[in-house]
Amino acid sequence: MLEFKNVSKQYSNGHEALINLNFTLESGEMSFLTGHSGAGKSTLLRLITRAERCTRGQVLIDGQDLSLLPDKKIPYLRRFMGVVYQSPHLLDDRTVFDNVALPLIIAGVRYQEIGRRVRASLDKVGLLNKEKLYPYALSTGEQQRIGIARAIVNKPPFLLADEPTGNLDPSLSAEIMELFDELHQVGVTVLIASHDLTLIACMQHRILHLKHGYLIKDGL
Amino acid sequence: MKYQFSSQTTVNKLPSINIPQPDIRVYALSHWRALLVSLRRLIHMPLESLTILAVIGIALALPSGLFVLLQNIQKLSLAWDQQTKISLFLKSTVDDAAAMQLVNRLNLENSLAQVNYVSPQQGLDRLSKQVGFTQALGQFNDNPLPGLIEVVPSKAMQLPEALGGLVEQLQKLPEVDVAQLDMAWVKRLHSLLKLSKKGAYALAIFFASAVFLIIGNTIHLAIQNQRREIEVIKLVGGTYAFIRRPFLYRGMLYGFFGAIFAALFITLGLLWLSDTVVELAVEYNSAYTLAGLGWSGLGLLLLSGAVLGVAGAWLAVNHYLRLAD
Ligand SMILES: Nc1ncnc2c1ncn2[C@@H]1O[C@H](COP(=O)(O)OP(=O)(O)O)[C@@H](O)[C@H]1O
Ligand SMILES: [Mg+2]
Repeated sequence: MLEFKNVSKQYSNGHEALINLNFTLESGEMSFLTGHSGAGKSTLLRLITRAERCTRGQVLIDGQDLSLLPDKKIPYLRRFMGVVYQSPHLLDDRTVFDNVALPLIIAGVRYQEIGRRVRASLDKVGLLNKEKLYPYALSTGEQQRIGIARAIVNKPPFLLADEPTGNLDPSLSAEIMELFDELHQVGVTVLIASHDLTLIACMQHRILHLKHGYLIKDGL
Repeated sequence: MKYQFSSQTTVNKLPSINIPQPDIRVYALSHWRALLVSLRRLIHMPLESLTILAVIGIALALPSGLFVLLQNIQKLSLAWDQQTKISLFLKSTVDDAAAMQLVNRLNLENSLAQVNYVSPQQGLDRLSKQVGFTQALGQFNDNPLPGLIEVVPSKAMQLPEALGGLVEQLQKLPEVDVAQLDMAWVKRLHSLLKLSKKGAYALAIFFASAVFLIIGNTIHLAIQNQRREIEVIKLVGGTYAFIRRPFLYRGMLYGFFGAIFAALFITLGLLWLSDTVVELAVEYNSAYTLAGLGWSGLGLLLLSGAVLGVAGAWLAVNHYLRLAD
């Protein structure tokens, strides 16, 4: 599914954010990406969404080298994965429903189908009753969950999350992690960047641990 | 909270990242949505939209209104063309009786199709009926106008060479002070029209560029206002075409509705002129009425507006997307 081969990322200012990473994620696998702030977690995820290009090595998804992916294919790469961002990137002038529907609108899904899928997705994050509200009327935690609903609305086979529980209280965090786990159980490949070590520890999943751009631990 | 995983949760199995096969239904749907989104944005800011549409309308109405006016003048001059007239201004010593004798003699000439006497008094009446002259003429105690005989040459004499000879002949008549061929000013009017048309084309190009830039700039501002939205669309897999589409439609709507405003302005302007024109036409026993834009003119105006709008929007969006890369 996902393979990093000798991947390094140097930002244009000369900073080496990732150094010689090697690992593979199998299809349907769930794993955590941990490390101190500035270790390179977000950078790693940005390489997968092709928001950034690696400067050395290869990032492969289903055997396709992302650095060889032509620019016009990037949107289709992103439709193939759901991404939960640290800040949920919601549109303030659209309702919760319209925010969650955005990936479906982009894919040209029919109206009836959109209603069904958006509600199923909102139901999963427990916010079905908020579909008519605007994002500013929601708490930070609720906004985060709307971001998750949007990430899973088109049922992507691959889910990436960058500190999805950063703004949530512990019990909500646990519930969100449980949601990711359930997605994993129905076959979604899941990669979650997080530094909530206590929460991760009780989940019993593979952990990729970054330190100053090096992958220093890979396993349970 | 409880999560319910039903049959919904089946996962899309995509073997690899590929551009999906083009699907007309998906394509049509996303165009329809882009049109709706752009319409909604226009309605959302009614005052701003109306101002822009009025500005575009004026910019489009100026050159196209000028074309309509020139078209009308040309139509009018064509009507006059058929009727080349020679005006014989009589010497002041020739009284009505002498003039009538001359008219009778001229009526016998084969080279003339029509002969019509306008006495000094009739001439004064004619003038004073025309707006603006009444007061000026009231200041004369004596009628300053000479007698006038208007003759229309027969068909055979309408050729330019023949006309020259005829005018010379008429000029030699003892009663005639000046024989004047009205052709001369019709010709002058024609060349003036030609020149004006050239000017109108230049004006049209100038105002079309202005409309293009106005719409381009409006869309540029709209893009700046929607930068965040564009970023989010990119994050969740929107193509450039998807981002571009609502802006192109918006540009098209500005141009199209702006053109409708222009048509409205032109029609109002013509209505305002037509009163005066009808009065004049009655005066000259003519059934002349002002011609409007016409269906083809209206079609051309709307099409130009829409095309200019799309082009302006295209420039603005592509400029933005290229910078974003
Ligand atoms: N766009 C950028 N340009 C330069 N340096 C960056 C950029 N983004 C991140 N960095 C640097 O790269 C390192 C890794 O950042 P990041 O991947 O955001 O870490 P994490 O998500 O683990 O906190 C940090 O030192 C950060 O300052
Ligand atoms: Mg980060």
